[in-house]
Amino acid sequence: MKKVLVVDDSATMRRMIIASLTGLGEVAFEQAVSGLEAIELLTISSMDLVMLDLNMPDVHGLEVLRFIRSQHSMRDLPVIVLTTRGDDDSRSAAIRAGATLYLTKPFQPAVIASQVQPLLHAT
Amino acid sequence: MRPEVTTDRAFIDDFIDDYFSECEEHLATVRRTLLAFDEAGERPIDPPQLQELLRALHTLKGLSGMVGLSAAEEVAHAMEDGLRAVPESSAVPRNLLDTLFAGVTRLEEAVVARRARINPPSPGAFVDQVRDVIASMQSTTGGRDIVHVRTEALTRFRFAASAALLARGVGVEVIRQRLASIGKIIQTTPVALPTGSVVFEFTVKLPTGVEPPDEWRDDALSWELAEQVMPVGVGLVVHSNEPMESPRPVAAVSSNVVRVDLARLDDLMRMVGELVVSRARLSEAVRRAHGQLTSSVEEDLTDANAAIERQLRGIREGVMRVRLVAVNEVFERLRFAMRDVARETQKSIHLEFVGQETEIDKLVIDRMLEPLLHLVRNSASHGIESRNDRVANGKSPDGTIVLRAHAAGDRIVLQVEDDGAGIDVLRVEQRAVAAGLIPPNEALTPDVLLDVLCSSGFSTRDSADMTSGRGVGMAVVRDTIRAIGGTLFLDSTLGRGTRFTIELPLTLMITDALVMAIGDQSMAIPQISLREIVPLEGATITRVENNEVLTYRGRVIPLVDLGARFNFQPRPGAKRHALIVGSESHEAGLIVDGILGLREIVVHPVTDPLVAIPGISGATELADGRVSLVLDAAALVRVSRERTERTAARMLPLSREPAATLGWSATVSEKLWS
Amino acid sequence: MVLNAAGAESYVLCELAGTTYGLRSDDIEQLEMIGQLTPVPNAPAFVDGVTSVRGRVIPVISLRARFGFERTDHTIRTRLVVVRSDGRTVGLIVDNAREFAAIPAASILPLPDGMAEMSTRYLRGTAHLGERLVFVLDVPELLRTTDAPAQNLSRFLPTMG
Repeated sequence: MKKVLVVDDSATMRRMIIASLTGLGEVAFEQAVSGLEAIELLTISSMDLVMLDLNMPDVHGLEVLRFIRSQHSMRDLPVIVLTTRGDDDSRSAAIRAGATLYLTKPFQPAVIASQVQPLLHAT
Repeated sequence: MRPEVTTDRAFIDDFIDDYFSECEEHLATVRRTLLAFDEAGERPIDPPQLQELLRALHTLKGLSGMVGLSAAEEVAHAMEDGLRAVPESSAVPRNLLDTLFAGVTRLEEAVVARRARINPPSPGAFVDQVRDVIASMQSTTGGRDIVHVRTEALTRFRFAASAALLARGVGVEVIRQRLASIGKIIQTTPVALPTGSVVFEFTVKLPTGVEPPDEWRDDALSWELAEQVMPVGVGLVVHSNEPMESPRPVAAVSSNVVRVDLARLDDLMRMVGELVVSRARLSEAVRRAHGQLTSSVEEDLTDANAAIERQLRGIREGVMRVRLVAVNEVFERLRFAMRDVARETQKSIHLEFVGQETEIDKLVIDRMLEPLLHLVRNSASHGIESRNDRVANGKSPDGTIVLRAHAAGDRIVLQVEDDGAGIDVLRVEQRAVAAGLIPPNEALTPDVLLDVLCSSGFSTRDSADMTSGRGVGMAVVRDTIRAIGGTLFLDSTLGRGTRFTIELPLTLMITDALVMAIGDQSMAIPQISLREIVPLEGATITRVENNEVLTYRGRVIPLVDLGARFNFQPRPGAKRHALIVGSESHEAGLIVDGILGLREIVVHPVTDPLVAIPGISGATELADGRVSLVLDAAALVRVSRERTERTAARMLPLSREPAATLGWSATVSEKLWS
Repeated sequence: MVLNAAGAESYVLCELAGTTYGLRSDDIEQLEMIGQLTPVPNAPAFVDGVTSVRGRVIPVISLRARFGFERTDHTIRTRLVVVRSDGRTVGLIVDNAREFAAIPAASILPLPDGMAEMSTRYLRGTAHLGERLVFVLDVPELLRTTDAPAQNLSRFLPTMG
């Protein structure tokens, strides 16, 4: 059973992401409404993949990503970053900060599933 | 219905309702913060509010893109760009603010269009507008302002997250909300410990005298005063002027709030309704079994039944209360719309709210937004005079529009009142006679006046009026109100002002009702509408023209023959009663052929046009499974008033003085009948 | 969307005064026996009243009256077809409703010339099921049209044989 953490402050967005990924086999989903909660959940239990929205209140997604990469245990954790159209600065910053992949919203459900699948089963 | 072309469209449709409801939340945030910026005037923007606004717009942008509503996506994007172009420590320039207000309207339009499954208006013009405004801003402002930072007395909180705490429901978000409820969080930093666990550090500015409660220490929260300057995170600026006076956003802490789908509440109400009917059946069965059961068994059954009735009542009231929202929600939307109107008409108008905490069913108030908007716009553009005119007439230069709400028995009363010019009844009358709407020399009672004003196509304005011309007309206002079981009234005094009164049902879907026989049918009427029941045998009934009137306890009450009105077959051997309904000033007696008893009923509104008959507000299922229609007392009172007024008016001398004040005058009918 | 492999939509076949009508399954919520009807005063003549179906109160139309056929007593085969369109839920009384059939959109022929003049916007056309002629109803249009009852359609039926 693989565990995927979905981090986004919009409930609708989280639901859509999870719905897009439910075809991927034995996957359990955890949700975090903020970067703080994401960090909390990642340290308390281990995840196999993180879907991370960048623009969130209190702690920006990039901070979360940097935090993840600063932890030895999570150095190779696949993190897929979600950015919006036209946000080129964030995208390059995300790659520099160690994102595994970035996806630009709006994205097709099939696309996100196809990107996630290989990462999920590689670990 | 039509075959879906791609799976993506079907995928999106599953989430579209979530989208609409989340959209509404973010739009409310945008409106609230924009209004705050508007009121702040020249003062620099409050950074937390700016962040809030930016985040709401950003989320709207992302979500709209995901569901394919690019019109909204682009508008939100443009609004974001506009805001990001504002230099730090500045106020939002007026032209940008105006554009942002217009942006909200564009967003609303896009959502409405999507709901109606039509194409939304193109955002191109708006995007260009924002671009122009940004260009003009950048040409006038210099570089970035210097950020002043000063030492503040701050409290540093440390929260050690753990699995055990999370299992107890105490996570970092809960802690964050707690802290946000007692002070202002300046910065948050997660710190990873060598042990592999994480500690969250919050730097919080607490108002003087505020201390965190000691119990919080039980949740792995510790704190100490910190006196140094804190490094700022992304997008945050610490100002050097006084402590921010901007009030905390109203719904900042919402940890106890759950978002509920109205459709689920409807299901719940329906289930409770079915329970009510089942219980009634049980009650009937127990009654019928009298004599066949031992008395102790019967007693137990009756007691259990009574207990269930009490508990059901509790559940039903609880569910109804969940659907109630404060009228204030809609009033705030109106305040937002008023800003545009005031600027377009160049008038200075005060908007006052009275009773905004009055609670009303969410569905009812949602449908009242458009009619209220129209009435308020009407007051602003037609009612309130220009400053010069007002001053010339000895009035205050600023006009006032008051929005009132209060609960009265089984109804909610809303009022839109202005201190403007009032309605020129003579002019309306002339136009109406010229248009063939009313015969000449017919007395213009308030209700007939309202009818005329609501006639489609009636307008005393020749030129296109931008503010009141768009949107719905008076006819649709009244139809919308009627469709939800409400009534519209009008009072106006020339030179002093106009008042629209709207009575709405509380949506008591389950209610106590009197079941009665009318002709060969049985019908029900909510008990709360009844004031008295008068047996008609031996009563004093007089005929005046075509109407019957009852003299009772010193009052003269017009009667309504329901059997005749509904074309039912007469019932032989009927014991006629008059059900007195209405208010003290407007009463009517509904004639029925027998009283069958008091029941708890579930009212199903009956709105299908095929069976929407005035005087019927809905239907209910009686214990035997038969459907019984439910009477709308207010509508029947209105019918009776109209008839009585016409009769009264016909009996007044033909030469009328110009009616300066139009409001129902009880003295007229009193004079008549004494 | 109820489609079979060949892309034909599923219809419920109802009979009224010897004529067969097809209603799209997608538009139909339930098929019920006729329960108690409560007349509604001052409603149009073809509205028999309201009835309660699974906890909801809905208006009931007699399709016989609506299409200008003579009313008859209800039998055990008489059915209430509960349809839903445009946010409205209405019950239609038909003589019987027993069969399902798949009708490809391509097999729906336009109405014969004589009928096109009348207010028959609610008839999408006709289809042949074997030897039988089925009139395909457009339910949303039927609910929308609240004019006086249409003329008797039987005189336009082509003579069989």
